[in-house]
Amino acid sequence: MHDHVPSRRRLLFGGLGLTALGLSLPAGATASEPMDASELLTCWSDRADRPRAHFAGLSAHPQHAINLPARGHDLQWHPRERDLAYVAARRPGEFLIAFRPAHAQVVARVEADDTTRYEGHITLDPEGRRLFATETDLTTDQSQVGVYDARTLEKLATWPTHGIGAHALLWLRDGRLAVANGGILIVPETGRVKRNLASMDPSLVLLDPAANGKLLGQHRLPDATMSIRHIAEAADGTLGIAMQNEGSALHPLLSLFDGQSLRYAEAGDAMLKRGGTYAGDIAVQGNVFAVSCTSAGTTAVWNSRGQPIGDIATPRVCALTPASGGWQLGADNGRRWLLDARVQLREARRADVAWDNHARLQDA
Amino acid sequence: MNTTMPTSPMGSRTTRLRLETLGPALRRLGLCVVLTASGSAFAQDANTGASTGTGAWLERLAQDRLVPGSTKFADDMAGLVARIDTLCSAPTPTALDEARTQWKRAALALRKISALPFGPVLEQRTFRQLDFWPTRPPQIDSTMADPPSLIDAIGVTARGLPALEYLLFDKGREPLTRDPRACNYARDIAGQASKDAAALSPAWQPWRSTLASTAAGAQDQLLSDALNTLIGATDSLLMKYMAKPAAESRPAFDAWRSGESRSHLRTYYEGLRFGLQGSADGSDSGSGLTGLLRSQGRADLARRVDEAVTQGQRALDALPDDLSNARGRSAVKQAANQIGRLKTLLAEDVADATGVSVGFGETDGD
Repeated sequence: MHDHVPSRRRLLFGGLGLTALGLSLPAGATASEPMDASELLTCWSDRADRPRAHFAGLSAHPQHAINLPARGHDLQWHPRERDLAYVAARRPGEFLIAFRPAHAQVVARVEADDTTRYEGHITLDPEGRRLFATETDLTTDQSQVGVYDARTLEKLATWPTHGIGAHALLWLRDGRLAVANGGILIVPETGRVKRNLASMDPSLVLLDPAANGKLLGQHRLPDATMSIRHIAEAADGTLGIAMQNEGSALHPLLSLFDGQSLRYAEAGDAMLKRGGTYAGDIAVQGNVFAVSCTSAGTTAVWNSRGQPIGDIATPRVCALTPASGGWQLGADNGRRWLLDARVQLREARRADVAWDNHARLQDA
Repeated sequence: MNTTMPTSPMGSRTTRLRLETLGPALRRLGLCVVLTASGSAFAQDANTGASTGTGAWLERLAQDRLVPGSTKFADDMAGLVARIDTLCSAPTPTALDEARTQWKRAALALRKISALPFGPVLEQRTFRQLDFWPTRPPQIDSTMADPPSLIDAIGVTARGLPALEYLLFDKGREPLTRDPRACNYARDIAGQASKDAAALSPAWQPWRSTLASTAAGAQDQLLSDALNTLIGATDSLLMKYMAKPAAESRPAFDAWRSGESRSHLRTYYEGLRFGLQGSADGSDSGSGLTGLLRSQGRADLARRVDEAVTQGQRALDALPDDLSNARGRSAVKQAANQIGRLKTLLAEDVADATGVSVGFGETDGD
């Protein structure tokens, strides 16, 4: 606990109204394992129930957070400029923002026009020249990748994703762009109501950024009710895909793409039941994937061959970030945890905020 | 390796419907709405024994507003096609005035129902075809310069009532009396919109036939769709039609070219009131969403909705005729605050009370 006192003091005397932000650590808060979260980039809200204020910034320096007009979702660090970061609005979203989290400085901002909806996720090329965002064209309901100048957020191009309901996308180490077409139709008139569950067509697509987003491959699982949503790339090149189950039969919430085809990870009946039907995030350490099964309140771990390593109860956790020796976990009740490679959990710190779905550690 | 699974607040919703519900209103609140089994199905009025459930509410809405409103809109659109046809055949100032007047009638008829995109309107995305806005003059002009061979291939940004307003009223354009190509284009897209409008009225009946369904979950799903649609409509009024244009320094409100911005806002709200209160003035306490709430014994909540609706009406009534100047924009911002309170009430308290759970923790789909 002693190690944590200075941190708490920094929070309380950090400058801006932390109490107003709901970020002072409560008396008696447990912080058994201090962790270096100084560069943990994330979004949060003032409270989980009926939130009124939304922020993006560094979890350890909330006084420098920027206010968001609505919940943020994915965030990314600029790969070359260490103090520059990006945040995308939660779907159906209306903003992308480039900002300097250490200084609460907005560098550039773009709002969706009336034909476009942001779908929550972004990625950048390794040079940090272009930012790619999943979007939907509201005049056709088809999803697309919006290509932006990473400096100005000026839109440069749009590339079709060859599906609907695109969610996460990832720049792969070989220079391709992987996009998760969730396959679920939502429309502006009814917000997030799912309107096509009987005719879903989720897919993982691979695009060529060097050829204006040319389609290089499109891959599907046998079950069209498994919405493909989040992507991580293991050291051996395997893609881990975290999913959302819209069907009646249980399936593993992780599938793997080995360069040829998509297949489910392995899971016994008990693990399937513990995983439930919705995975909110995926993060990889080397060749090991962690998947937050958010609605069921567990986090499951597999190796890149699809063999289960274990799973553990992690109530209200969604955000997963690779960290030294394992993963950092963030929950919407303000708790943060450290999950180690043996799938054991330690609480790291608490705050009176609702941590949002994703977080990024610089150089992770 | 596994530990005992806790009872998670997110995992306890064993009765969650597959049809997740969340209105655009909640985009900004960041909330998610999920209907539970306690959501209302049919209820019986304690005094009359009449059916007062969701299906009965929507049937009454169809009868009082959706069907007659659709018919009126279709008639006005047919009239607009005729006026523009006359204008293109004999381009006189009088013919132009008559076409403009008819556009105002048709556009207002559309606004009477545009807050209520239920059933077939939602499934067919009818308003996306008829009512793309804010208007995009460059896309209209470029489409007009090189029109597709099939009228139906014209994109939504270059068709519909707002595009027609641009062609008929915009002061930066040659009037249609002196621009035959634009007049012909206007006739084409008016005809296309008229066809879409004519298809609306008969489309209601199949939807109405489903409203009394007693199939498991059917009434819950109706309520989910209805409440989210009304929340979405309230949010559209607030953000799309009020807050965003009020923040612009140039004319930006709906129907500003025709000088009908104020009447459009008030008419849209009138339609919304039909959904919320069953009438344009809230005089029938037994119908609308508030009638449903009263039938469920939630008279206090219904009263709060009524009050919020009334406050919104007063704010809209107080708008000046000219919204394009600083005074007008300021008045719209003030009115938007009232509409925002209504939206929050619907998205939170009403959603909760009607058996809808609201929670930040609901991340399904993210």
